[in-house]
Formats: sequence, structure tokens, C-alpha cells
Amino acid sequence: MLIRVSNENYTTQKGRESWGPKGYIAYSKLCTHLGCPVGLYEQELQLLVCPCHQSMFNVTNGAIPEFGPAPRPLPQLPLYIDAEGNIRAQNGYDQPVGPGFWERHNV
Amino acid sequence: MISSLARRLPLLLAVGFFTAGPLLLFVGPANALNYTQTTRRNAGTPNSTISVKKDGKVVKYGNKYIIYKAPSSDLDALGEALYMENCASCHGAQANGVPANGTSGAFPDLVGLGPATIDFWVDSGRMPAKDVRAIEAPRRQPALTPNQALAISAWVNSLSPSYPDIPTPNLKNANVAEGAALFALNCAACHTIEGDGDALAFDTFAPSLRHIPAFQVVEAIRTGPANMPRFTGNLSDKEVDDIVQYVTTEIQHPNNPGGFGLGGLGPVAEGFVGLLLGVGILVLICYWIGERS
Amino acid sequence: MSDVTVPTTKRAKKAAEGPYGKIGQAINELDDRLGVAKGGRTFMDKIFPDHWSFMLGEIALYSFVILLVTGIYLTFYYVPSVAHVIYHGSYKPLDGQSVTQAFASTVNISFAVRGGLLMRQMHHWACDIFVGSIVVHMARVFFTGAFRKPRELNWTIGLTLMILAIGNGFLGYSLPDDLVSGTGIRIAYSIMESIPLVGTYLAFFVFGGNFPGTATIPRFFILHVLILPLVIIGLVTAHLFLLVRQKHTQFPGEGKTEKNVVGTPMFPVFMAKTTGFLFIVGGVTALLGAFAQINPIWQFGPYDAARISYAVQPDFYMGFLDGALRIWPSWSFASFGHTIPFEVFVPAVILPGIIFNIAYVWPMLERKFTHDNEIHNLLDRPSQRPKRTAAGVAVLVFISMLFIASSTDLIANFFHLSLNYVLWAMRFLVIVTPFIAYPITYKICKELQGVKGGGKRKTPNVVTRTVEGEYLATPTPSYSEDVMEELHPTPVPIFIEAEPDEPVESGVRTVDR
Repeated sequence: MLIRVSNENYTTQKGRESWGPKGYIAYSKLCTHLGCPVGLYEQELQLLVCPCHQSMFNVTNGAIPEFGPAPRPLPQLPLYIDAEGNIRAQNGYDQPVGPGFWERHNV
Repeated sequence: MISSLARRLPLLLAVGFFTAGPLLLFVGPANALNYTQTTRRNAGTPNSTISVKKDGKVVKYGNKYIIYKAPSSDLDALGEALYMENCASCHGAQANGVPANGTSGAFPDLVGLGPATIDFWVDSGRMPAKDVRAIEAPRRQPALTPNQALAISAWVNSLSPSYPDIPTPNLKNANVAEGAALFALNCAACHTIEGDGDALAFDTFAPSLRHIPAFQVVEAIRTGPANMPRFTGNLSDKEVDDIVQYVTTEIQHPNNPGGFGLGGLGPVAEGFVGLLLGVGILVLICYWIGERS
Repeated sequence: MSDVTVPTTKRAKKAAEGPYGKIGQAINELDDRLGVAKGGRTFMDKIFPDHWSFMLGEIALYSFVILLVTGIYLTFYYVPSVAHVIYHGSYKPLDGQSVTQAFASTVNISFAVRGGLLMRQMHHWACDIFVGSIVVHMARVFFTGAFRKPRELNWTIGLTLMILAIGNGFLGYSLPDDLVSGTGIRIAYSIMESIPLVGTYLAFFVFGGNFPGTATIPRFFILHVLILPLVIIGLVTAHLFLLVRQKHTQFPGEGKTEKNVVGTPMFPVFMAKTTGFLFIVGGVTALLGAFAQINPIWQFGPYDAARISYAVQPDFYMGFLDGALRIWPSWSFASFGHTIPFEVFVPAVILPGIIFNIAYVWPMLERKFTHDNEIHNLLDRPSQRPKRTAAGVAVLVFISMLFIASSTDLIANFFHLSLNYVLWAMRFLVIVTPFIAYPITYKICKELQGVKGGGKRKTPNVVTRTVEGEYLATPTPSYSEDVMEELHPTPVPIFIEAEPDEPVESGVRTVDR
């Protein structure tokens, strides 16, 4: 899901300096707890909340879980704005989206 | 984190919920943004198809789905008086969020928010706030009349004219089925699929949508009051109109066969009824016939 | 002309047919060929002890009958397919939406099929009552010690039935493919995926590929309407057969010993009661189905992986799992190139595993600790076994708290509290309340043991007025059947008496009919 948090380029974490052009940042919508769509955004708290089991992810620092049962941050999609002004993904997610499973490599 | 009303976000804030399955990794983000750009024209700002101008000032714009109309400047004087009486103690005489004692940042700055924002907060009874220190101002019986709310928004807007203006949705052109789908995608995550609202993170609440007039639904979607995200580019006026149609018909007056709705609380209420009424009555009957031979 | 042997009048004809009329004659004819009378006689003479709590299991049995009847009706109209169709039905807010056939057919059952909504709602209510009454019945069996030797096997069967009922309930809940149940399947998939080593393969195998697949709904359908009901019917038959075979337990009382069964025969008294009860269960279910809405899937809309509603909970019998998932902290293990999602695996797999396994082995555990290896046909009063009662109450409280934890958001909304505080409170309460419930129950049981006349019906006091105007209250003697005897467990003869089997040299054997 795509959120616009400011007008400036937005850095959520170290190493993600160019991932939020013009304040647009994108996270996977699949909760890392059980895979529900994290469709609940609170703009003042800047929290994404999972409606299933109330895991709360802080949008400003790379969707690190602040509360609830989710163990991992939501994977962030690196964005850039091309010459025509369209938002595009620099590449795919750097890790599997959604809940954990045995074969998942820890990153 | 909790003292959030003080730390208002930059208002340019939009949330896009992509309809594609989240596993699809946004393979075509270009399409997604073109979509945003083409529909942005109708997103509550006055560069949409119909616009009426009078001495350079935009007073009315919109399309066949929603008409946005600026409040009449005749109301400015009344609005100023009402503002000073009801709002200035917190938001300050200049409406910049600095009260008379000079502490800035404690209360929201109202300049440049657009008439729809001011009108929504006052007309839904949230403002003037009952408890100014509360995290959220819940919906109440409005203290001011709709016309007084309009007057206040007219005066605040006269300080620095901005958008969106007061919307009037035209529900005749709305499609309730598309509204239902958009509601499930964009609104149900907080307000629940039956529109009853629920508790969100850290003492914040999504309000019930059961008793909210149509134009306020548009105002809320377009201005994003409090913790609600502001939907601008990703919902066109037609889509907002569809959602409003769904909210004002199926959420507020549901075609709902099957008996008492159990308050829309879903399986929790159903479980209680099933256990207490169903099993409970049967156990009592069991007791009644079991003790007789 | 008039022959005395040929009956002419109606009455005479009737008299010639014998006391049971034509039906009796027909049964006689049948018995001559099939020899069913003996078995039928034994069945009809089966003695049922009189206590209201012995009928709790029948609520479950009869709600299962209602589930079968209403379920058959629903299969006529339900389409178990996830092929997409454009809905054009009488429910306007869905008109023109692309939905799965499963969802469209369920909406059609609710709006277009005559009596369909009533059947759907009755089916769902009957399911809630089915699982609920199984729990109540199980609690009765547990607290009265009816699971003890020789009935451990029936306890095991009953417990398996409960798990199957819960499982089948979840499958049925998932069939409409609506937004809420689709989220439930998504969670079930993730839970299965969380099992270390085999989880991914298991989830792929069970759900027929990655989520959301096209195989899930058809598979769930065949499991829900055919395979699990057949297993349940088989186990219910075994459950009842063992009940008849082992004879019913009874509470201690006058003339009641370990070796006898005191009660009313199956026919006519018990038969009348229980048939009446069948109709009452049906009536209550029909009333709920007609007047209380359940699972309005047309409001939820079709499932879509990106859509979600807040305040979604599973049906109440899965609530304890949802609650455990909510309150469990985010402890995950990720190392050596593998991830073990303990935050899912522990509350959703290990925890129910522990709960159900303790329930399975409880009869054995109790035998081991009490060294009581006798056969028991007389029941305990719960207060006589304070430790067992207290342990049972503690477990029930634990599960109930988990159930309550599944609605933290609703509690926070209703009482206008912070969601985070409610969740922390539930974390605390789930752990603490069982430890509070245990000693309190234990103490109450101990106190009850000391109460004079405990467990007996209260007798009235007769108040008399003397000639001087003084009032005297004299207690009347207690009911004769309430006089307790000192009872000691005594071994009962083994039920099956094996007859010496002497084979003839030729290998031909003669067996009595």
C-alpha cells in the first residue's frame, strides 16, 4: 500500500534513503503475523494497524512493529519517480512478504 | 506517540489502497499512478470539469457526481463573531493554533484547511470540543446550527482561501454496488464492514457511520479528520459518490432480512446469543423435563 | 348363516387382530422372519436414570439432526466453486460485482430460495448450539466423574466428536467465501504454514497450492458435507452403542449401587421425554433462525485478498484460538536460514494441542494419581472431588478468558478504553484468573462437603403456633431418596460372559440364534 507522508523525500531507515521520493512510501499490505491485509492507517499516529490481531506498525521508521503479535516489519517497496512523473518500483521486495514459514531466510 | 493532536502531520497526505492482490508486488506501478493523475482532477480541487467563476474567485466547481461550493462571503462577519466566541480560546484569534497565552503548537492551525474541514468539525458537533485535552473529539449533538458552522468556515477560509469547499453529492448518479466494493476496500478496515466503528490503536476510535449526513461523508473522505487518512487522488468524485450512496442507504438503512441484527457485532454477539439463549434455554428446558417422570 | 368364528362387526374384527392391531400383526410377521423382537425388547427395556443433567448430550444429538436436515436442504442450492460470475440478483449493493459462485449461490440461498435464509440461519444457529451443548455435556461428564473406568473410551470418542464438530463448523463457516470467512481461511493457511519443517508442504497439500487457491472451497465442501459428517455419524453411533452397552451412570441414592441401574425404561417414559426434547431443540433453533440474524454475508461482500473489515472474529468455538493469537507476544525465531514463527505456532498449534491432549489423557492421569482402578457406575458430586473440580474450573476459566481476549477491540470500543491497555489486561488476566479460580473452587468444594444435607433437596419447615402464641419451626424429614448411603466402589462383574467354545473336529460349529 502507498502512503504519502510529506512533500520531501522520505527516509524511513538507514539504507532506504532513496526509497520514499516526494514523501511517497510503499509497504506490503500483508501482515507479517498471519497475512491479513494491513488496511487500517491512522494518519496522526502514523500507525498501520492490522484489523485481525491489532499488530501496529510505525510508518515513519520502516514499519517496525510497535505493538501486538507481529514479529517483523512490513517489507518496504523501494520507489522512484520516473521522467514522466510516474511512481515506479526500483525493484521488488528484498524479502518474502507475509507471515513466517520454515523455509523463510532471515534477513 | 499519544499526544498526537498536537503533532499534526503535514496535510498533504494520501493513502492509496491498490485493488490488486498484495502479492502482486505492484508490478505495474505506472498504471497505478496514471490512474491517480487522471482522477486527481476530481479530487476536491477546483480544476474539474464545471467551474463557475465570479471576479476571479472560484465559488462553485464540480461535476455531475459532487458539486463543491464555497460558503458565501456574506457570512464572514457572522462567522468571525461566532469564531471569537467559540473557537478563539484554543485556536487563537488568527486561527493559527496559537491561543492568547502564546503557546504555539498546542492546538491545530486552521488556516488553509479549506471550508469543508472546518464545516465538518463544527457541524458534526466535534467542535467546540467538550474536553480540549482529549485525544479525540467524538461526534456529539452539534452546539452550533449548520448555518453557523458554514459561517465559521467562511470566515476562516477568508483568511487564506483554500480547498476543498463544501460538497453536495448527487446521489442520483451513484452506483451503490461499486460503492459497496469501494467501501470494503477503503473504509471497512476501520469502520467495520457494517459501519459500526470500533476501537483503534492507543485510545483512538473509528466512529459509527449509522447517523451521518451524506455531505459529511464526502467532507470526511476529502479532508481526513483526525486519524482518518485523507483520500484525494486515489478516489475520484464518482467513487466518493458511490461510497456515499452505499453508506447512506445500505449502512444506514440496510435491507437486512433474517431477524434482529445483534448490533452488527458479528460472531462475538452471535456466540453469546447462541450460548446464552440457545444452549441456555435448552439446558433450562432440560432441567424442566428431566425432573419429571 | 351366522358363524361365531367369523367376525362381522367392526369391534369383533378388531378384537380378532389381537391387542396391537394390524401394526402388531405386521410386526409379528416381521419378527417371524428377522427375529428383531428380542433386540428391540432389550432396547426398549433399557433403563435411564432420572437426572436432568443426563439429557444435556441429547441437545447435541438433536442439534446434529437439525444440522443434517437443514444442511441437506442447503446442498441443493449451494455451488462449491470459486469460478467468478457477475452477480445479478435481488440484492442491489452486489449487483454487477464479480463474485465467486460459492458466494453468489449463498446470497441466492438467502434472498432467492424459498425458505433458504431460514435454513441457512437455522443451520448456523444449530451449529453454535451443537458445539455449545457438547461443551456443556462434557463439563457434566467431567465434573461428575462419568469418564472413569469403564467409560474412558467413550470420553475419548466424545472429545474427538467435539474436535470434529469444531473443525466441521470452521469448514462450513468458510464455504460462503465471504469477506469475513475468507480472512479466516487466510489465517488458517498461515497457521498451517507456521509448523516447522513440514508447514509449507502441509499447507500446499491441504489447500491445494498457494493461498488463495481454487481448490480450497471444493475441498472444504466435500469435507464439510460428506466426509466429516460420516465420521461424526459413525462416532455418534459408537458413542451411543457404548452408552447402551455399558449402561448409564447414576447419582448415589437410595437403592442405587455400583451394580444396578435405577430409572425409567426407554419405552414409554424416556421415549416420550426425548422425542419431545427433539421437537423442543428444533423449535428453539427455528425461533433463533427466524428472529435472530446470523452471519449476514451479503453485508460482508465477497472475499478479496486486499479487502478487510475491522472487528472480524471467528465463530465462538474458534474464539479461544483467535484470542490466543492476539495476546501472544511477537516472539519469533529466525536463524540458520530458517524461520520458526513461534508467535503463531505456539498459540495456534501447541496451545490447543496441549489443551486437547490433557483432556484426552485426563482419565489415565486421574487413575495414576488416585490409584483408583475400580469400575465406577455411581457418579461423584463435584464437591466430593475438589481437586478435579477445581482443575476443571481453572481450565474452563482459562479458555473463557482466551475467548474474551478475541474481542479486545469490541471491549475497548464498548467501555471506551484504550485498545492497548485492554490487550495488556487480557494478557495478564488469561494467566492470573485460572490460578485464582483454582483455590476458590477448591475452597467452595471443601465448604460444601461440610454443609449438612449438602446435595439434598431442601425440606420445608413446618411452622406451628402453640396455645401460648409461640411459633415453632420444625424441619420435616428429608426425602427418602435423598438419604445418602456410605458407598464404596466395588468391582462389577465383567459384562460379556464368554461361553466355552468347543470346536468340533470337522470344523463345523453350532451357534445359538
